[in-house]
Amino acid sequence: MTQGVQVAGRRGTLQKMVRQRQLYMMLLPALASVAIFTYAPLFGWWMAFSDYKLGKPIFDAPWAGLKYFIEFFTDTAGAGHVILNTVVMNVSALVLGLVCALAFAIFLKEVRWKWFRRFVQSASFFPYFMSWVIIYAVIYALFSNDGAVNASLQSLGLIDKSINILGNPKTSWGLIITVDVWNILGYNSVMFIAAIAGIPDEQYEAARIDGATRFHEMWHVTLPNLIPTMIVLLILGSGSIFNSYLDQFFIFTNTLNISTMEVFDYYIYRFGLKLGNFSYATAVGVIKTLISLVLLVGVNWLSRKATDQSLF
Amino acid sequence: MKKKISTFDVVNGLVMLLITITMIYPFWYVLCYSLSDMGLTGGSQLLLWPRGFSLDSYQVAFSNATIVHGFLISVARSVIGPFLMLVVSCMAAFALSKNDLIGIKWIRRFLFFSMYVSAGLLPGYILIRMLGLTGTFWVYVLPGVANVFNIVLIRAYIETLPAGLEESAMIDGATYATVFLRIVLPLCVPVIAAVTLYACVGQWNSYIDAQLYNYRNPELYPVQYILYNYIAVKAPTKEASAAAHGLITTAHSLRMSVTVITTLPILLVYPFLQKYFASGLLVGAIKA
Repeated sequence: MTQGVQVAGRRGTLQKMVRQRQLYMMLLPALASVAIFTYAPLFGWWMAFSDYKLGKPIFDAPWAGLKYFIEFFTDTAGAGHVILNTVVMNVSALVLGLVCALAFAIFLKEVRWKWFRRFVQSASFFPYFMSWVIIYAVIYALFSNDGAVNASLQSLGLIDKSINILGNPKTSWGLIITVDVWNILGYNSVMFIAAIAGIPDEQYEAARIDGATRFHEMWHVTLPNLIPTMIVLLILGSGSIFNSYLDQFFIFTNTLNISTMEVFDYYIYRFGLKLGNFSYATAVGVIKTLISLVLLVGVNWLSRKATDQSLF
Repeated sequence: MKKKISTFDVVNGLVMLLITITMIYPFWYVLCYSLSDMGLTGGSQLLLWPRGFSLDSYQVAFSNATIVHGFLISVARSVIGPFLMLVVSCMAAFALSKNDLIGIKWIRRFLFFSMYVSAGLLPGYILIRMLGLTGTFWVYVLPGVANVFNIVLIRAYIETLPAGLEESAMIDGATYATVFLRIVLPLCVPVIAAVTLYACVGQWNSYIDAQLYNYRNPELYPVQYILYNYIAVKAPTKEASAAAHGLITTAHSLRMSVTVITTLPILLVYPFLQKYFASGLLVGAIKA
């Protein structure tokens, strides 16, 4: 009896799957593509645990254990400056970027003229849609040794020698953090502006009845309403504190500023593709991925405990 | 009730204007410089307006076969890439919106988990090599063909559509494919437009894939990569040949004009980009 029901059930499922065959066909390209381009490369992590040489089959490479992982942390030329550069630039850019976007959104809301508000917001994400090549081209035109800013300052007699910020180890961090905050301002502020639009008018009316000034409104009504958004964005961002855009650093890193400009992603590129040490560079990549994962889960847990805001 | 304009309004307005200027001026300067007459002296000082007016550097840029070819490669990847992505992503999104699909839970997990996984640069590089994609145009478009983020976005949109439409069509004997093509797809135009635009910009702005995989194939360089080479590696020394045609330009000015040419397509779609962006259509998915 039960067996009969089971067989009928199984046959029903099969029949249903046959009926839904078009849906499976529709999913197939996406599933195949994800399997090939996202999951299959995970097997490449084998390189980190073996002595791999480019051009040979991956799984023929002799086992090397944790040699390359240890090398990263013990080799004095390696870890230190890369970890420092990556963390300092990314944390500063993340926090400053969000704080600036928050302030920008709050003050933008106070602008009286709607057309002007629209105009400022439209302009604010212009740099975000530009490629890093174009951004560098523009910065180069303005700030290189013979760029516009140096030329103008010199002709005004304010400086004698041109100041080079693009190839100077002292200015790398400041340069990247400034560029990042500038680049991401519009993008980040969109989330805050959306959150502000969701604040019920009654809150402002109640504040006004209590005699609140505009500064009071901004501080006691708008700002507290944006804190949850801020926390979510911070959590999201903290997962990628060890990730940088290779597009960006490939172009900003040069032989002059590499000591303070080199980040994980560039380091991996340099050791893997320029120096041909695939095993070592892959090991660094695995380390980076694992730290990111631990960080994301950790911050998420902390945030759930402390504020009830979390991603998962 | 119209309130008086206070000091705060004025100061706030000025600060906002200043922010706007920092966003726009750097690009404006490049445009002015590229349009300036290089025959006039004055160095590379800050400009509010082109010094003189000359299209010479543009003429030199457009008579350069490398730049024109790079532009075409960029156009090709910005059309073919998003198109393939759309075909794959829309089909997947439609199938994923069917909750009674057998095994849907596992399929969803398989896809969503991939958003948080990345094997990294080098395993990806090895894979592309093993697939024989290095040195081909397809390396630009195939790896991004299933964009899970976009699939999620489109599926979320499909789920807001009234279910009755699909059901009645199915009762009338329509197949899933018919429902998808005739009913769902036409209703998804807003989300498709937004996703497409975004994908086009992403393709247009990419250059690192050319450096990684097509370094030895100059015929496949997109214009962004050509511009990168002009800035970071060496500026083109075309002054001599330009002078022969009576055109006056400099390496610096040529760089600026190529920058402008590369920016132009984004500028053209910018009103639409910022419309979709500000409307939160793309942002919505991050919260979801």
